[in-house]
Amino acid sequence: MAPPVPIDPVAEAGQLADLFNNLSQALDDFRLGDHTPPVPADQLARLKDEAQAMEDRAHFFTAQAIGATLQSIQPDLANIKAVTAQAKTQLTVLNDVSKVISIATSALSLGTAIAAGNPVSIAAAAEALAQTLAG
Amino acid sequence: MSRAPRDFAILVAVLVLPLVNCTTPDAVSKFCGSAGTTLTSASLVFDDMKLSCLREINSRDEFGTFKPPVQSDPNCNAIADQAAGAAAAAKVLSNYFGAINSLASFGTAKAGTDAQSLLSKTGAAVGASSPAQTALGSIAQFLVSAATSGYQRKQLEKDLPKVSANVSAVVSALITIVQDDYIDRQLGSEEQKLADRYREFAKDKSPEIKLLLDDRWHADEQALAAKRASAQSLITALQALSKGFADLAANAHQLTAKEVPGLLGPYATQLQALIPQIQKGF
Repeated sequence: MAPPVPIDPVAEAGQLADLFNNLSQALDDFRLGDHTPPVPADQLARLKDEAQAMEDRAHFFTAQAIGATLQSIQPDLANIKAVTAQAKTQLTVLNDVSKVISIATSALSLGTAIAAGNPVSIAAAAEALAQTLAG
Repeated sequence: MSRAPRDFAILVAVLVLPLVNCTTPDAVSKFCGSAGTTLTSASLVFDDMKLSCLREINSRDEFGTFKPPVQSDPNCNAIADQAAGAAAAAKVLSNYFGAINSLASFGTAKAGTDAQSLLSKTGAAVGASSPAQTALGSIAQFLVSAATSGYQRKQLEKDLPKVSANVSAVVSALITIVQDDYIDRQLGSEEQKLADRYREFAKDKSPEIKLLLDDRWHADEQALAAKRASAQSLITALQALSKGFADLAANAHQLTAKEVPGLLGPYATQLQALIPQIQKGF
């Protein structure tokens, strides 16, 4: 027995949308054409209603086709979202690295000031370090 | 040059050289910025999917019936729901490019300068003009820049190829929706039904009235053609975005700083030129 042919929901829904759209247009083309003898008005009105019903069906299957396309990329979207979150974390790390080095250099200045034994310099360096830690 | 500064210069060159031969953040940032704007503009097309459906339904009424246009229809609402899903998918991509842009444009040089200016505030401790303070400032600036830019480039090289296939799949799906569902099905059908409305009304009318109708139909047709042209521009932009990203991801580890702007520049320029074209029809 031959293996079952896999169904492509995007193609199937799209083809149905096209089919109903073409049928609707064929009905309208017939309705708006010249006929001998002329088609009675009530029949023309019915053909118009049928063409509109076909077009509604085409809209329905267009929505289905878009939905099937979106369904097929859900795993891709999930992976992109995960990597986006990672990139945002990496940006936080960059800010942290930058801040840590600033704190280290500021602390180094304070140490140097303490070693120099100048109270005014120590106060200035300590204030700068405090500002860095607060920022 | 005395020996100490010369040795220091050699040390800096040795440390900085590996960073130069990596992905250039500026070029990546420019490309990602354009990609994000392109994807934001895509919502104009997705929003028009429901509107096109409603315009078609409203074109079923004959001229002169003077009925207010319908604002809602079950099948048009279903299309609107799916179009919102497509816009959300574009937003996921846009968020990704935004995050990569932030990572690429992180101011490593500024971080270094900030560290140096911080040190100058504490300069009184060792004497603002002393050689020690000057050296300390230079080292702080270099340390911050090198540490952050090294990490930044490493992460960019890691993040870009990781989703290359996913970005390509999502862009391809968006192109399918814009080309097959919007341009071919919706605008194509709207155009046919619009013409049918004029044909129906023009039946048995005088040549003068037919000429007036023909003028009006041309105006309506031009509006539809403008929407189709905008959607085509979006497709071209999405193709450029996908190809540029694939090229970047494939070469993220081997391109030199000089090559990256050359690789991404044409794509970024193309995207920037297409963005106004996408917005034109809506």
